[in-house]
Amino acid sequence: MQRAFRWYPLTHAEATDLLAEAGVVPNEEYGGYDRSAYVPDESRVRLIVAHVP
Amino acid sequence: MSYSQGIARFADLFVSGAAQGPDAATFLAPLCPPGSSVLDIGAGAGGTTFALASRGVHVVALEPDPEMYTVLLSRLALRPELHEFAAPLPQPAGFAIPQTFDVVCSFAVIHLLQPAERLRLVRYALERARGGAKVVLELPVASRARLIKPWQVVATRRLGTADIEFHSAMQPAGEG
Repeated sequence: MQRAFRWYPLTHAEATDLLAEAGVVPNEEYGGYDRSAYVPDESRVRLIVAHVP
Repeated sequence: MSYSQGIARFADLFVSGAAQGPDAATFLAPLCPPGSSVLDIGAGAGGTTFALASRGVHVVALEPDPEMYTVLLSRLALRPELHEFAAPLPQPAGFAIPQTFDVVCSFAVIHLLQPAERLRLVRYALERARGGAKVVLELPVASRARLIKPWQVVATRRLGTADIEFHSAMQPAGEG
């Protein structure tokens, strides 16, 4: 059995644009669930926490 | 809406020891104490939802992909102790749920969506968060840590007398 699926990791710029267009202002930003620092072009994920006023 | 498109067939991989749900729930723990409410957008097989529910957090789990939703329900059926806390709905971001939440989150979903769907999801997350709430979004991003991986064994299972191997391979798909 063979299956395939597609996924599209965002570039740092695309992620930044997405957040800005949606009006999300990150208060915290991490590079993983361990709360390691997010490093553009190095981290696998950009994990953001936004505080809603 | 194309969350999880085609991925439910690989659900066994997401509920294995390599699943991210418990780690995501651990990340969320300081933000959502027992008794608080969470909206999990794109709950998938329910890893994060179940881990939060087991801590007494009330979770509404949106999963619009029919196959993945079936996986979610099947797994939840085996966890009656969570039924009071986990409420799955076969709906996407945008679903008109008459409630706001202490935390709205989405893990391992946005990279599966087209650009317009991504924006819809993020805006919906903001809408469903009550004042003082937190929105938590995982954005899988291109990086040197995401190099294309060759054909490899990613998991093994024993099914009766058969040993099952799961292999995966990655290839660039170009635009779109």
